[in-house]
Amino acid sequence: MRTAFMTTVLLAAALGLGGCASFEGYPSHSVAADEVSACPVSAGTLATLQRTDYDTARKSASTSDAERRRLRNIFIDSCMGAINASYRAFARELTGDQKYFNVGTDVAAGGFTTAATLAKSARTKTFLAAYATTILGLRSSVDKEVFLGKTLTALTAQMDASRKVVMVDIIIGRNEPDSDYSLDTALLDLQELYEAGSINSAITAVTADAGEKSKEAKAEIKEFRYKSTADAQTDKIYAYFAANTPGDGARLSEIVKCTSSAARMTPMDAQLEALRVSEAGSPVERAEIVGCLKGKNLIQ
Amino acid sequence: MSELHETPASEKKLKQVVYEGVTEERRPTVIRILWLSKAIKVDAVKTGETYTITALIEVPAAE
Repeated sequence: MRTAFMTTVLLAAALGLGGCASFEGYPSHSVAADEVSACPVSAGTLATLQRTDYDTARKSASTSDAERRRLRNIFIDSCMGAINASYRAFARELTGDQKYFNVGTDVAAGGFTTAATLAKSARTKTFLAAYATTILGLRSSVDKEVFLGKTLTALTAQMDASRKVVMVDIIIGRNEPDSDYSLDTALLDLQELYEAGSINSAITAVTADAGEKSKEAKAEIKEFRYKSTADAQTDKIYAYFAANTPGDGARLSEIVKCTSSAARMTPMDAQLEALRVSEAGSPVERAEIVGCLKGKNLIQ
Repeated sequence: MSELHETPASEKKLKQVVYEGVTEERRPTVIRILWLSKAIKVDAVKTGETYTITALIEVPAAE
């Protein structure tokens, strides 16, 4: 079901974007130089100055690794601080919007479009409206708990979890020498930290997780397939059982008692085993049941 | 604050029992025994002259 949903969403996205002349399906070949070396969240000129200090130190042969590491960590700390402050503000907006979901609003009727209309912040509105384009109309395929009433709770929890995973990498990197964890490498992790706090990233993670759970659930269903070998002995057993007449449960118990292969099974498994022998077992197994029932004077 | 709950299907262990080639006369008996064995769903699909009977059965937690 979720795989079908993802396929449909991707197809809808592809169709929707197909009409856009500028859509090429891959990132641009060129970007501005300052975007490569900048913190994903701007904190005024502070980060730029720190970056300049680090680059100057790196070019100088006389600067020690310890000094470069110190300058790198100043940049990392400032950048992480900016990303975290930005995320906290974003999460607060989402939490504020969550209240609107819970005031008896029929979110299901409008999905993300309704959510976007109710969202009090322009930024959240933009995010939700963007996803409404592809998700609207596909609700029946989606786990309602993830994408409807509990949307923002689930997505915020996912963003928090994803950010913690990336933060661990950055904290480990901070303790490495500059030669092993340069500022440019740190910037990759900082960019990832920023992305982990986005709804886009959270939806991807939640959907992937839901897919795994779906696979696990399917793996829990074991199949037992039998081909009928029923014969005249089967008919004798079934005639005694006389399905859907009073006392058929008690008569099934007698058949189970006469099924030697069901002896050590749980009651439900024993009944299924008696059915297997009667319908798809060997003639010898069935003859044993018939003989047993005759021995108890239950059948002629 | 709402909580996210697992869907019940992912928490249960289930087994599927399939019988192929069951005759019209024997079909009610097979279905009845499957229901008595705590099947939660039983389907019978006619394939030519016979039926394929599929039952979904919940496995007790102890198993």
